Amino acid sequence: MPKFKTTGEITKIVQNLEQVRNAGIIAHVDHGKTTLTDSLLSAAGLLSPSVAGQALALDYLEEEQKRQMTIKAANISLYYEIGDRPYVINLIDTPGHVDFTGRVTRSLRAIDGCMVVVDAVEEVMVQTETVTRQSLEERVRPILFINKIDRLIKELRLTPAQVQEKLTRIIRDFNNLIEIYAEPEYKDRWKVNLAAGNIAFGSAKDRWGLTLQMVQERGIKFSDIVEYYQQERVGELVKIAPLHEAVLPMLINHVPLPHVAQKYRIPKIWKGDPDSEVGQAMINCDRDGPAVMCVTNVVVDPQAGVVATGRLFSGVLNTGDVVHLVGAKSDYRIQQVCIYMGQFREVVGSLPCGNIPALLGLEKAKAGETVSTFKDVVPFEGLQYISEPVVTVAVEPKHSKDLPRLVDFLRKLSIEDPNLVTKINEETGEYLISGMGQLHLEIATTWIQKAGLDIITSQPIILYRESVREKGQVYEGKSPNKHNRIFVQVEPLQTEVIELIKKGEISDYTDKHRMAKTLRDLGWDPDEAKGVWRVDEHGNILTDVTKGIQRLDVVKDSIISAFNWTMEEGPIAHEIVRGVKVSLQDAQIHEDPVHTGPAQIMPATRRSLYASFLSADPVLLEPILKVTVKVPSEHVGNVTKIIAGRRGRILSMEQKEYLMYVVGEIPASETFDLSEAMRGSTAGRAFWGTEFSRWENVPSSLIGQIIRNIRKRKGLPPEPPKVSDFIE
Amino acid sequence: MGKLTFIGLGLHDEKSLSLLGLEKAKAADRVYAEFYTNLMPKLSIKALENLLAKPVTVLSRGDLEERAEEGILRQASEGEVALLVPGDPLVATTHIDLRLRAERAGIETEVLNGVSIYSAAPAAAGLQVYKFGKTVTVPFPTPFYKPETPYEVVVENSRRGLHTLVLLDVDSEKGRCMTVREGLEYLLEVEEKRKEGAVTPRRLAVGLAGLGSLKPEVKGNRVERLLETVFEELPQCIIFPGKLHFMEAEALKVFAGTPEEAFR
Ligand SMILES: Nc1nc2c(ncn2[C@@H]2O[C@H](COP(=O)(O)OP(=O)(O)OP(=O)(O)O)[C@@H](O)[C@H]2O)c(=O)[nH]1
Ligand SMILES: [Mg+2]
Repeated sequence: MPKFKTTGEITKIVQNLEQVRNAGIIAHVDHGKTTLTDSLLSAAGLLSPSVAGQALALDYLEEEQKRQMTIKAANISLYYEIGDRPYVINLIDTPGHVDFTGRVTRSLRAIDGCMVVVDAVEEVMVQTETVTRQSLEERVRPILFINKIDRLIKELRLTPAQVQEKLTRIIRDFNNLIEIYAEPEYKDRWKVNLAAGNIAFGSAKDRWGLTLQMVQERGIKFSDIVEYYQQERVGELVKIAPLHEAVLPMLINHVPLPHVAQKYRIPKIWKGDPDSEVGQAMINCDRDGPAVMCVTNVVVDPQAGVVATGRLFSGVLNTGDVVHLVGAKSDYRIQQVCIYMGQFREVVGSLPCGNIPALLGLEKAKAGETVSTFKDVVPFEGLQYISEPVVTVAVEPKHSKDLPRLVDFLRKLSIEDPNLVTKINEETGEYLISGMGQLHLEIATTWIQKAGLDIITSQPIILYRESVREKGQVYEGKSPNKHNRIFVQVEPLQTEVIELIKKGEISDYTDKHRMAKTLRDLGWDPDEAKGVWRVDEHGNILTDVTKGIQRLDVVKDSIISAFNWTMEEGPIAHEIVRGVKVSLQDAQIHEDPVHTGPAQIMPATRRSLYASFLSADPVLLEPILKVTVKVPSEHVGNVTKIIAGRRGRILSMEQKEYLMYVVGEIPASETFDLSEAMRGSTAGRAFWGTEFSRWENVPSSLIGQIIRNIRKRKGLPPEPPKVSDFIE
Repeated sequence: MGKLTFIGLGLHDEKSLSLLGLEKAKAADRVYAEFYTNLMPKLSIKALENLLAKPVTVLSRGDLEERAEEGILRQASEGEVALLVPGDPLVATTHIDLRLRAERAGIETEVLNGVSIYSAAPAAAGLQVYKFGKTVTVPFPTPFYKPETPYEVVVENSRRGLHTLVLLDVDSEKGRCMTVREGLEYLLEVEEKRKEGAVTPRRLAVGLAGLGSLKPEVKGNRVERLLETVFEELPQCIIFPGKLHFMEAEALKVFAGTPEEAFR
């Protein structure tokens, strides 16, 4: 039964953070997160009397229901009493498919603990590993829920002893992940065990669950569970062991308290100075400090407009407050501060730190944005994305009159999911949508169609990257008016630096001194380390090593824009550039500002950059996916053949019980028909998944053709340019 | 052997051309003109062609900056080419670059001067040319480019007691010239930010338009008053007077109608 509470009652409870938990549910795809969330919602969801009268049915995205997959991380809140103490649990359900890993990471920032759901049949899978690793990286404490026990009994017909064996193995594997990925001080503290009460198991679908304590208190044995199923008396099991009575106390007891967690989480997830005033305010979850909120989810609601939900780490937010959006560089007035009651938003007017407010009125907010009353706050920058966009499709309206609506809709999509990158191809007039995998794009295009827009979709296209292997020469780039000369040099960026950028450890927002020190420690020349002008999200750095150049300040922005422009379109095939360091070596700038505008300086910079790039042993990189397969031993040969036949390789093979675990790698360009191949050659008996692994040089036997294909598609001349095309 | 002759058109209309310039242009095999380094709204190509009794081809920025080798310089290597330019040639850096490229290609060059804004503006205001500091142009501001250099130049000159000639950008593609008002607003905005006191509403400035014509508009006043002053002709420019010689002060009153209180 949902709990009927007024907003006033709930607002009062959440003032005391001892009674608030911010938690999430993460898992491999299809392991049962959404089912679990729904079961909890119907047993313990909050409902304000005003909503109760209206439609009670859960409002699903149709698309989600059809695919049986969660597309958006939904925020809900639950209510539970232990003794007579009421608790409010904010719960975030996240999608498990790897294509949406960006969303998972974002949700993690808002929460302090998470329940990892593992399907008892499939056990720990590739995304279980990914999401658990990600949560540990955000210092979010994981606890374990082993789901689908019913299937062990009904489908696999395991004996009580075998069920227990399987549970033991899942717990061991899970703790193994914590051993590998947790930071030293959390390795032991955060391992789970039955006696401590941070493991539950059950069936989300049938709505029962147990912890060891419940087993003992209520005298339930494994053999009893098996019996309930065999005798089709599951209803009784649900009565003596309701799911929420296992799960909610576990969350309350083992998810760290908001203000306690912030003490150790802030120094990890926020790159600013922990000793600064804002830093201290967040670490201490200080209501009197400036308001700082990290937006983790944005949806465009047809009625309410942009709804930005996230974690408020310090201060208090009130309706009417003017806040600064650090990324969007603009100020907005909060139209309403809301709280989640069950799955509904309710207006509360004000919420203190440690909570998860939903804000209306922040029109330019995107997920990942930092919202603050303190203008100069260092943002919760570049949430750490493990995946990057690797596939694109072109969409086009069937009827040209739909174009404005399509443009509008694409904008909305990219607000809601910043991992979807939308772009216009100027030459062909097509709209390109890039995502983290095929499925990600399929869902995006289905949404477009559901909005009533008829579209034509192209074949998916793999996104490559351009990079260099050597230090290039310095070439002079002249401006079109010939009055300015720019000299840059291109060289490979060390892998360690690329990693730091990808993890958000260094970015445009990093304190200059800290950045310089980090780079010096990695062997950079002090001038190079000090001169960084721009760190882009693709993993490239622009640094200024010149000294005493006249009027450099006037053209700095243009040089940076040219750098950004060039990093979006490398010289070889106009693909994104990755892993290069560009250093400004010299610049000769005309005296009069009328001759030094972007129209002059940008082409000059680009010419020098392209020329140097082409002299630096350029390469094309292709995305490589990691593929993990669990398959009965008799089909292993077919699986390895499929992988090997697609320019792939096997990394490891391990026998676990009657299943073989195969881990391999395949270039993304070879995966378009993987589903059919896997299904066909294993009679559908393989559990498998892919995720982005790394970038790798395209083999030289293929590179020429690939470049020609890309260039042709983009309407470029078939052969890439030469150094001499950019210098005089 | 060919030849390239740069001919200054002066500032106002086709009649600002010198007699020698007219002669040279008439004698050339090909006549080109460009109006992107400055605009001459009162000049009519038709009238110019009638005057020269031959066609005049107008070149774009790209023709001169990026495609000179295959265009005008190729012509000039084969015959006599005249290039008509607004104002005085080689005052624009583009012309220097073009002349250098011509000389490097073995093309003989000649320069026929025309009336220049650098002398016309100080003269119209009655200010002495040797008391001017660095000149600067205010570019059309964009969200991506709004340099503070023009303001800095005024600051620098003013500190040294020198006058500043501030030219105003022209956008030849859109046929747009920046007005005195827009130029002042640009500088006032920078003043807001920098607060170095160089371009305050109460500072004396001179707005100029229609130079080179028989009726140039020259008006001295406080910046705040100049903002409301209407100038009819284009292009326009501004002078920020520095320390004034008594004769300059007198001239500003007589030639530029500067009211007494604007000097205080
Ligand atoms: N037999 C059984 N099936 C379950 C159980 N829990 C979930 N399922 C089924 O497993 C499938 C996936 O469940 P979801 O809850 O959608 O899984 P999810 O983890 O939210 O999936 P994504 O959001 O797509 O990653 C559905 O068909 C559920 O009905 C369970 O306890 N027992
Ligand atoms: Mg789901």
